[in-house]
Amino acid sequence: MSSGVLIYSFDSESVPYSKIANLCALFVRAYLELPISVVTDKKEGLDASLFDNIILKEKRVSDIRWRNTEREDYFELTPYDETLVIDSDYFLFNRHLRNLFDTHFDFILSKKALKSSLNAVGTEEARLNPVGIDMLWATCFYFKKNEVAKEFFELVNYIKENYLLYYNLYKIKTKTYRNDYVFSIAYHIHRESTQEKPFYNPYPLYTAFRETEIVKCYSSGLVLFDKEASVVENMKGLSLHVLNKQTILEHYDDIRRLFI
Amino acid sequence: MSDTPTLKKISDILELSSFVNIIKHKREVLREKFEEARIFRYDQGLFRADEKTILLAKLFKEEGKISVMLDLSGTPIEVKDISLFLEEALKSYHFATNEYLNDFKALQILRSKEAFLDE
Repeated sequence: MSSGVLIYSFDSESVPYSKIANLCALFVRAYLELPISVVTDKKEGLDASLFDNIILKEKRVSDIRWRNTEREDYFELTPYDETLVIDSDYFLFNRHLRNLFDTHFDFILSKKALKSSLNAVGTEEARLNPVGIDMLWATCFYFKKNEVAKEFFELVNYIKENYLLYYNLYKIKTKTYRNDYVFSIAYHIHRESTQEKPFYNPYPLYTAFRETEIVKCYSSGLVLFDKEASVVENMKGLSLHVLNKQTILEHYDDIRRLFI
Repeated sequence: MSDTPTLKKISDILELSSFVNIIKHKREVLREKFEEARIFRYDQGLFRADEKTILLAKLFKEEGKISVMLDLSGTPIEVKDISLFLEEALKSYHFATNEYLNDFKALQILRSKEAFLDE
């Protein structure tokens, strides 16, 4: 069985995601030592030497203003039997996610999310609405190329195509479209129909929110400054989802240098 | 290590941070690292190398029968080689606890905010 990592990289008007995907690939190479494929609409900006496959895909014209809306094609696009999909802004600092491969799970989604302060994320990030279903994160997930995962992604597509219906049905509070919402709803429906005991990625998703800046970069982790809490956060050893793209780009060269 | 942030900026940041809060956060990071490090895979199942798992494996080993362990998802996994399972569990447990101990000792001797940036 082949295993690999899939990263999506579609530049937006304001963020060169291709540069961020380069950094993401460096961490994957260093820690997971697995082949990496990147799905993109253009090769410019990507460091081709970091990727085993560059999968070109036309950017879909959509009224949904969220870069990750392309992602419903994971199942068709992945060249691997077992795939770990990670957002380009999710930086790995350990090899724990390798444990998800070669397991009996058809797919594994992430549920437990913590702020870089290690406090739980707020209600708006933990549930679809204050009394709604739990939020799952599409930042990092694993799947096998089998019928179960295929059906799950078909469900994801169906919800996406009928997003307004599900948006109202699940009383989603925020107007912004998020893949996380679609995955949460899909998993909720899937679990109800299969009566499966829920199981999620055992490794929490540590997330540095927008008010957090990178202070120092090491190959073993990032040191952050949480402006809201006024705390220096030394996150060495923990993988990190960095939402502040500006701070990533400011440290682009520093991070690249770590692996030369 | 990167050298982008100017010393001025780092000193400003440290000025704003409380030493106690930095230590508290770092302790929590070490705890999280420990919890992550003791998860291990055995024959398609994911397990946590905790006291309960290790003791149960030892008990099964003494019995000498083919054992079934429930993994983190509650899925039954047939453990055909309980010695190997126990070995894997102990390896993960020792690795995680030793790393935790070493990190904790290193933390105890740090007595300046600046040192935390490099630790």
